[in-house]
Amino acid sequence: MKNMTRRELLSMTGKLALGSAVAGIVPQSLLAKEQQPNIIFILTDDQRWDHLGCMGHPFLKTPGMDRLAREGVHFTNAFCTTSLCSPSRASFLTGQYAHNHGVKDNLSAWDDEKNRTFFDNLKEAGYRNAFIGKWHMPGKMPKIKSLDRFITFDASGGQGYYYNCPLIIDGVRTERPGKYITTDLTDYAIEFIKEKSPKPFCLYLSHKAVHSPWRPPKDLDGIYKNEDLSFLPKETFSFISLLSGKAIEGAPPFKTTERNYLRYCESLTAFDRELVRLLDELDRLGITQNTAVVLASDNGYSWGEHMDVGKREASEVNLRIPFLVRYPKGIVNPGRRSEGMALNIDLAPTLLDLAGAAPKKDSDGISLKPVLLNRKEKVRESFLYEYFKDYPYNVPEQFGVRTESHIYMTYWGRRKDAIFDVNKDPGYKNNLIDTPQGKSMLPEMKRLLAQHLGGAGHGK
Amino acid sequence: MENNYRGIEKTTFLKRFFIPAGTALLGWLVLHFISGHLGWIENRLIYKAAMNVVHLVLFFYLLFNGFFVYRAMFMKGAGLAERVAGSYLTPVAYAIKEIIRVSEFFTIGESFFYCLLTYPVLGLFVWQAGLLAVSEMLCRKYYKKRNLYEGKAVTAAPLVILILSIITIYFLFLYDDGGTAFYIYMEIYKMLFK
Repeated sequence: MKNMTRRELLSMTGKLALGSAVAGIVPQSLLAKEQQPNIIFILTDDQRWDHLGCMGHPFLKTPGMDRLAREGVHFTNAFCTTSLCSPSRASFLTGQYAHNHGVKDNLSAWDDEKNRTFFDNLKEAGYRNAFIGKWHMPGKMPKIKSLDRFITFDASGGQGYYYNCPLIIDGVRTERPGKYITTDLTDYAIEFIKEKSPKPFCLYLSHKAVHSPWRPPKDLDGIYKNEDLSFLPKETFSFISLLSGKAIEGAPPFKTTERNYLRYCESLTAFDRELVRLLDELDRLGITQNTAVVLASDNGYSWGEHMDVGKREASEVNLRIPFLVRYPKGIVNPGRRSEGMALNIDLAPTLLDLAGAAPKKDSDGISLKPVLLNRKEKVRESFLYEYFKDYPYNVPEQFGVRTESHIYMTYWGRRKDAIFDVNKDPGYKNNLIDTPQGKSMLPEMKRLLAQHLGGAGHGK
Repeated sequence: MENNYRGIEKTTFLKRFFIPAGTALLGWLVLHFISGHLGWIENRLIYKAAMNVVHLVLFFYLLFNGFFVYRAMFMKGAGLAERVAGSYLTPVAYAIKEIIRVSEFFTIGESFFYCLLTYPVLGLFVWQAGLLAVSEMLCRKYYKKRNLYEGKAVTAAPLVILILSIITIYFLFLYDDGGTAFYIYMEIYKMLFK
């Protein structure tokens, strides 16, 4: 080997350093600093997977969500693992199934000691974090140390009000007279992203919309009143709230299903308008390219399917959620639809993966980053659905496993277990469990369910 | 209790109790059966109209049948206890039906406790109490007008029941949109069952 000059030595050292980094010798966290994206996660409440303009809804106009779909990846096969507000919210934050994070229903409390959120990992990776909006998990207000801003509300048991909803801003209760909550929360969100800081940010914007009792802002009130609703399921009738056990959803008989549905759509339009405002602000700030925007809902909603107005029963419209990811710098071939089964529990691992932060070791979810990079389509073979008893709602505790073609459901109490073909029978009307096909599938479905539950089921 | 009525013949138990209360119960059973068996109607508009009508009728039937049962029993000479029992026959049957229905997914204790939830049963029972008080006073007025009743139409007992019923209904359904009542109910539930 010949003697090297000083210049040659320096050059080689540089190349070696670069090579080492590429080879993974240099810690990823150091490299990632350069590329860390800003993160905005937007959570709607009770929004159906098919209630976006780009999903072909007959009259709903959602330019904001359509833009996300056009510029990102639209996971059209996305699901919640528990179709209920509090458990699903905890799943988004922790990346865990409800039986692991412990928020099993709207009564079981969030445990600050036990549960770690992805904010903790992001904080360690250098992020400044904000949670703005609906927390709605039982127990005292959480103390999440990794949050730099925490704006939420506890009015009406944490559901909040559409108008005049008092906010708890970093621990201080503040009246908000005259404010419409979707706009108010978006104002705070924009204020947060406009703060000057060398650090990347993670904003978790959790809306009340579009949870009942639906109230659009005044200028959108009645915009859909002349729309034809004949596309709603045949079982829909005006007084579903008069069915046994359904009265909780609305005060009979003054509010009809149709009126509630239109108000739902109007409230969703109001949300989308605020989304457009937020996206425009990103454009104005010049940070669109390096900001990952994820939009999802906590669960789906039935508008007449199974003669139900609600979300708790396992059914396609209740389990399915909208799930959109836009990240111009980190998505290959944007404008795609992905058929891979994405879940609420995938949010945390995905965001941490995008941020180059340490993964959450207790997560049950899978990072969707490879799908965003168009490296693979399939995410998983099956997932667990669980619904724990939420008295007094008239829905049995139930556990099930859903594959790409079927769902196997087991129920606490007298209801018969079931297997449905989710593609041929999305309404879950034809129970296959006693058919030859169902009998042949049952052992494998039971095995999958036991595997997912790991002994956490109701023991049926 | 002093009998202030004149000329009201006390008919047989069959006529003064079973026929009015039983007819009301039968009516509810028929309506309930029909409401659950309209799925065969293929035409969407007819199906929707039928479901709307049947469920509204069922709703108002449950709300108001006690008023008429009470009045019918009054006129057949039934005593106060019989009138109250007869008027509550349908709501009690409805409560039993609800307990059986929810026992599909709740424990027995929870199923009975379900009856104290505002909407399905408790609200109906409280409403019914007020309605019977109104019915009692109107019956008295009716007979007083025909010189068949000697006392006052409006007395303390039915008036107090009516006022308590109104206050309770207000609290259960209107105050905070029923949120506070539901919160209290759930706090009791947690104490008992969690």
